[in-house]
Amino acid sequence: MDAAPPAPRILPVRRTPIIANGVLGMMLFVVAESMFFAGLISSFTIVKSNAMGLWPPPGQPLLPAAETALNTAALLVSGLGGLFVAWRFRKQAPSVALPLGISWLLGAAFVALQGREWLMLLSQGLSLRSSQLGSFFFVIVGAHALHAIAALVALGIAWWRAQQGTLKGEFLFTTLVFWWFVVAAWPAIYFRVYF
Amino acid sequence: MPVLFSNTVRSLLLMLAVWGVEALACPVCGQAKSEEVNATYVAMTAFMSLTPLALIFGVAAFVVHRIKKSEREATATASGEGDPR
Repeated sequence: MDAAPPAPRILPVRRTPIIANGVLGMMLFVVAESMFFAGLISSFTIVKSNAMGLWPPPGQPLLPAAETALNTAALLVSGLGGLFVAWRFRKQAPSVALPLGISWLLGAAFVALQGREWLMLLSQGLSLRSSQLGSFFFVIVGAHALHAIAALVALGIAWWRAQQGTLKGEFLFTTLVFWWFVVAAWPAIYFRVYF
Repeated sequence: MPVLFSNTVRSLLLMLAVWGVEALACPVCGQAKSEEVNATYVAMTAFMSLTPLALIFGVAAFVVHRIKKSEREATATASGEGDPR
């Protein structure tokens, strides 16, 4: 009696994700964070509108819009540097450590210059409790600075891994999505809050 | 012809139509100090309503774009064309 032919072996199909899990997760996180900033900017706009032209409130300093333009430029160039890093990584360039390091330095310069500006404004009497302007300014710009610092920590880790030759695409692009969010959120904050 | 509404519902609809008065759905818009403030309320309401939609559709569009790109690459690889770009 003939034995039944063996059943064909079905190999498990190896599926590769279209978008890395980390990148997609970060994009959803960015959506939530965008709404956080949208809410803050929206409430600031309404409070400023209700001031009926008395803005900044009496006794409060004008925000240094011109000086902050330099910080803004540094951050925007850093975001462009991130685009260059992504392009080089996709082209499998030997190393992305140098442009990544430059982007990090520009981002760090932005945070440092913002810190200097905070100290200057505090010395001029603008504080979290001094007025609605102070409250909104320190909450909105402070929240953005916290995001920038978190992104700089991640970018620093990416730079270190790039130096070691162990940088993976998923980590790099997850970090860059967050960094681009920090960069893209800033102009909206700058033009709404400073002017 | 099917009866869509009973007489009671018709009567209630008629009463609503007759006795309806203007209502301010937003509790703050009606108390705006000026036209400019009112316009700000409306603009921010639109901003806060449309921003999440734009963000969600943006993520969805990105995912669809990546799926299509992946399909193009798979088709090109299967037909031996190499890089589809």
